[in-house]
Amino acid sequence: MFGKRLIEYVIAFMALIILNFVMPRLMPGDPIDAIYGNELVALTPELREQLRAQYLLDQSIWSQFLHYLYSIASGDLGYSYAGKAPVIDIVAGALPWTILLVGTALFGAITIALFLGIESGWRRGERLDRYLFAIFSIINGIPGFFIGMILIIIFALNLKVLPAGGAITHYAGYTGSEYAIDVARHLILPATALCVSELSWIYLLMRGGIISVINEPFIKTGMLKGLDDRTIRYRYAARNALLPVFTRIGIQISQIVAGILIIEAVFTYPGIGYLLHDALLTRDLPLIQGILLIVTISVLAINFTMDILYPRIDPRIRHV
Amino acid sequence: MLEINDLTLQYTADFVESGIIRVLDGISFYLKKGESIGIIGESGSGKTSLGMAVMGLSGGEVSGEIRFGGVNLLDLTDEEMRVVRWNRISMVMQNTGNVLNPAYTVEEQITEPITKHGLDSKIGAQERASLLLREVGLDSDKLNAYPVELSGGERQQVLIAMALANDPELIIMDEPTASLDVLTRRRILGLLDRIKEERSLLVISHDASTVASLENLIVLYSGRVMEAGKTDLLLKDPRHPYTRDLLRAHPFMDTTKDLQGIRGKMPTLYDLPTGCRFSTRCTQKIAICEERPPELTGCRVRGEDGSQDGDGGTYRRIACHRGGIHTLLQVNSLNKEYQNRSRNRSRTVAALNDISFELQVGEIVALVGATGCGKSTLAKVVTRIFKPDSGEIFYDGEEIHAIDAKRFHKDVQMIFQDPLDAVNTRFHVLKIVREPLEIQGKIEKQEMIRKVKHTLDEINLPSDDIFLKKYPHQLSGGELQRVTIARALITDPKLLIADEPTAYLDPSVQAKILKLLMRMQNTRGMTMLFITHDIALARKVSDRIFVMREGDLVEQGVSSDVIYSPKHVYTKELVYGAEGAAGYIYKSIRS
Ligand code: SF4
Repeated sequence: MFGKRLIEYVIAFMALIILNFVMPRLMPGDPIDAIYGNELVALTPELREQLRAQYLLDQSIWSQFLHYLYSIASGDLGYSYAGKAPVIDIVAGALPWTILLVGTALFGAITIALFLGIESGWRRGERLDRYLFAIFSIINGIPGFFIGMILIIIFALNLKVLPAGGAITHYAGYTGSEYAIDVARHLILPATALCVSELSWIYLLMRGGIISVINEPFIKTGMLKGLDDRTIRYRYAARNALLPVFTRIGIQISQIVAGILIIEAVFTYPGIGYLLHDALLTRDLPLIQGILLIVTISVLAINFTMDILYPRIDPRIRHV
Repeated sequence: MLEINDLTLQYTADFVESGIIRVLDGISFYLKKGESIGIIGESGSGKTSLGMAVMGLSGGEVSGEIRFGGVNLLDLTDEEMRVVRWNRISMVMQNTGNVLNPAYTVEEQITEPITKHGLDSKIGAQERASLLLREVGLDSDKLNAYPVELSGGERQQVLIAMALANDPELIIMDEPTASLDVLTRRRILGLLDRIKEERSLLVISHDASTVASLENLIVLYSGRVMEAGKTDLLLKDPRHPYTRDLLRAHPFMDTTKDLQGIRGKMPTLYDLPTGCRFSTRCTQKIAICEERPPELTGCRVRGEDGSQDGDGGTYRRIACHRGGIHTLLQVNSLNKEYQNRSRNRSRTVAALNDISFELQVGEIVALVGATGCGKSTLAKVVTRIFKPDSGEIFYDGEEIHAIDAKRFHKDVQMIFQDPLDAVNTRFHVLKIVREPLEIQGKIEKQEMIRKVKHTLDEINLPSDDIFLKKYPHQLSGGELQRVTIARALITDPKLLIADEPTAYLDPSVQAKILKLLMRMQNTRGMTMLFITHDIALARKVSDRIFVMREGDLVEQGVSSDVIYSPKHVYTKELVYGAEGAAGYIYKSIRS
């Protein structure tokens, strides 16, 4: 079963690469025009020739493809004329910021959402549950960028306690702990915005999961065994309600990624999302292509990891 | 050790008119240390709620007392009750798919209560888990299995091992054998037998054979106890109409009679009858049954030999206003002689020789004997066609000859061997069937026709005008016998005497007529005396069998006893003689 999944991932990955290779070559006209357009750089005949040679455009499609594979494998995703640097370097510069942001936000969102979801679902109909449910149902309807903008207006523009954008204060020359505090201050607002917008749906999912297992016979078994309430709530109810929640998080990964891109754009946070936003504005096709490749590979990798994790979360999976 | 007094459990529910759903009502029983008790009842009788109430997890409003080791569990706080659970009383829930926590291994689930209650270290608990697993007959490599990896039977074994984990004094088991195959079931029952040697056991089941080996038995119906007593006696000789009906519906290995469902439906918990809970389905109810519920009191028990015993000598209680299954017909020392004239010599032959027996409401008794043994004479004496030389016959407490003829014939009807004996061949079907009604008089013509049609429908005969106008010679043997059955049933008799009703019919028609008679008996709750020379037939239709020879009633008893352990030589002869082609089945059951 595992092997089958693996093959599926390899196929998906191949398809992705091929798509990335074929797309510019399918566009009408010279692929060079398609890739570099005319507005960005003055395509002098010499430059054009140089590019044709670089992409082996005069050779057969096969050798082009092999060359392409070779360059990806060696980390060459092309050259961004707008950024005046190899695509791979630009992406590599942005990636850590995204990881930092997403890591913090999702970690916060998942822990808080699971905790609240479990407690709320277990006390279904009680006051705490009614309030939490109402609050998160409302938040769940608000788009992420809107939350981000509200945060900016309140904390950055009005209260002026936190920076409105960016990841660090430029030219401040901070080092050591000062640098870390600066990074954290910049992180708070975008991470909170992302956290809140992901939190609500995970909370709703977890709460629903708990409610759906609460009448399962094994919960009664746990009570009969004279176990304390917390053990039953976590080891019996939550543990078994978790799998559908994780599955849904897996399915939602692409939406989460979209959410990240938007939040980064709103906070001008120099991660992959903001980079893509910039690249789109400047129509920097090599960069766009590089980013999409990296993002999709990441999504694939996350899904793959989750697939490996499922059976650890729920032993039932091993037998279906 | 466990003593339950007047336990009542009810839930409030706004969707019902009364606002209350009463699941248990005034339950009382006790269980001594080391004893075992079974609780049987159909689903919805409240038996699982009873188990949950003892564990303090039923929810709802609980009143009364649940004394365990002298302490009323209902007085304990949640925290105190938590300590009682599993340490002193454990419960094996019904073995459904998700009764074990799907996310943990067998070992984790068995050790969990041990470590969480602080009885032992993790290592100690693990050792105990593997010991317990072997004790219930599983390999210890199942310790690392997850619940999904277990078969239904293995899961049951794990559940039992888990229940033993904290060495409780009392184990409650809910349907321990439900949905298991025969072999697994036997293994589990063997396990129960071993467990009950060491601790008290309360087994809840809808299935009487699961609880058959326990010492005591309680029959629950709609949240009330109907009958309670020693299990073997109760199963052999149920005294409450409900218990009898329940057992009739249940296949025991030695059941001889065809299974019969219980007529009607169990009342819903929010719409219970004010009186006896069983009154909506009982066939012997009287006015008071609908007014107030009967108390659970001691009752008389029929002895082995058919004699009546004051209090049974055994502990037996029953909740019925009529003291249990009512005696409909009581026959005391009947004698009748014939003058047999042959070759100019006159000889006195005893057709009935000191015959005594009882028939109870709703039972089928087969009277078996050879031709000329006096069984038809007996039928005719009981139906007042002949007068006995001496002896008494009481119908519902009255001497039959003192009963007004009309009333007697409304209540007691007979079906004859030869349908032509019963019908006037110049009458058509309508006339034949309605004749007994006409004798009763005081009934409108339209009403009469409606009744005739209804009765014909009931016994699967056409009721259209063409059929009603048919004459006996236009009917087949089977049809004609059905017509006489309709004729016998039209007055709604309480006692039906069927004298070889299928003797003239070929086997397939015979089977149909028998099924029909049993169905009618069951739905109407009539008492039936079924006379036959064929003991193989008798065993399929009867609750009890009487054996007659040359005017003597040589043996009477519960059908399975008479068939599987006949006492009188003549009965033995009959039974072994009848084995025939099916002999090997019979022998294999016996061995
Ligand atoms: S006779 Fe009355 S009290 Fe007895 S079981 Fe029937 S309905 Fe209930």
